Amino acid sequence: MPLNNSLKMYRAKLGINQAEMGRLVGVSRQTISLIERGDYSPSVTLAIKLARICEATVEDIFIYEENEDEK
Amino acid sequence: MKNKKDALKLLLIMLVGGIVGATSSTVLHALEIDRLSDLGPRLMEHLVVHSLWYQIGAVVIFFVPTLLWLYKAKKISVDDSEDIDLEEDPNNQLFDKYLYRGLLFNSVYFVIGFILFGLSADIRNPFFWSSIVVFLVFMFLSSYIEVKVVRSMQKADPMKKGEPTSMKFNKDFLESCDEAEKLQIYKSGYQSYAFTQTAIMIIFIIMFVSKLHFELGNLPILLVGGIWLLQLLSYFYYAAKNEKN
Repeated sequence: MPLNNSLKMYRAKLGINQAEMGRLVGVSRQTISLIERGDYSPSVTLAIKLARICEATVEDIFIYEENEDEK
Repeated sequence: MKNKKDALKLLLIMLVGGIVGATSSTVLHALEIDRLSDLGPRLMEHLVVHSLWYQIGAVVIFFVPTLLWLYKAKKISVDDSEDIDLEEDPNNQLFDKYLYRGLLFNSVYFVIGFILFGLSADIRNPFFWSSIVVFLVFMFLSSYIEVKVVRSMQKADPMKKGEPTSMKFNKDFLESCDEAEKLQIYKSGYQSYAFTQTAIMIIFIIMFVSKLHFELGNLPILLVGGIWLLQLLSYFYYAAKNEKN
């Protein structure tokens, strides 16, 4: 899925690790790792929670890039 | 037109199945495989008489590696401290891998342990009591290890709920998983359902051929068919239940 994100960068700004980020939004460390790697697209709720923690908008963190064959 | 095509396709599949079945049966007969008609009872006799050795083999092949994988996982300290782990910590991945392998081996041992115990509880088994002792001791250890692993997972991730010794554990644990974990569980669940459907059909065919050539009787057909039906009905039951929710 063409959903890129800059969650890792925002997490670095906050100075917290994956486990702490997970605790703040109510998911596991593994899930934060999956999102950062682009292997999992979070639900709208989780994306909003992450954006709030990072004090950014969902669009700041997640960038949707349409594939040529999806147009 | 499409309906006609679908019906023809299904009929063709059935016809091919019938031809393959009839041909293999004729080939088996021509090979005088029926001479081996007592293969089933002989195999069962062998498994019963030697069940203690198979039990010990299962301990060595599955239970001992469980301990090794879990020991390796315990030795790795999962990073949860000062480091903000901008690069994926290989220790975290190794920890997950060892834990997964440990739980896999332990679960396989658990099932094989029960199968072998079922076979060993037979008066033809010369080591009847030893078999029971091996079963009880290692089943206790296997269950104890599983409980310990779940508790350590819950300690590492306090969001994970469920009392591992309770019958409600699976339900409570699933409810406490996050969305990505649930998606993974549901995906694995469906893939496992689809795989088992094919596997059961193949096992059913093997049992049917075995009934004709190896005197295995009708019981395996009834059992495999029963499991097939149970799996199908439970899938439809939970699909309907989840749709309501």
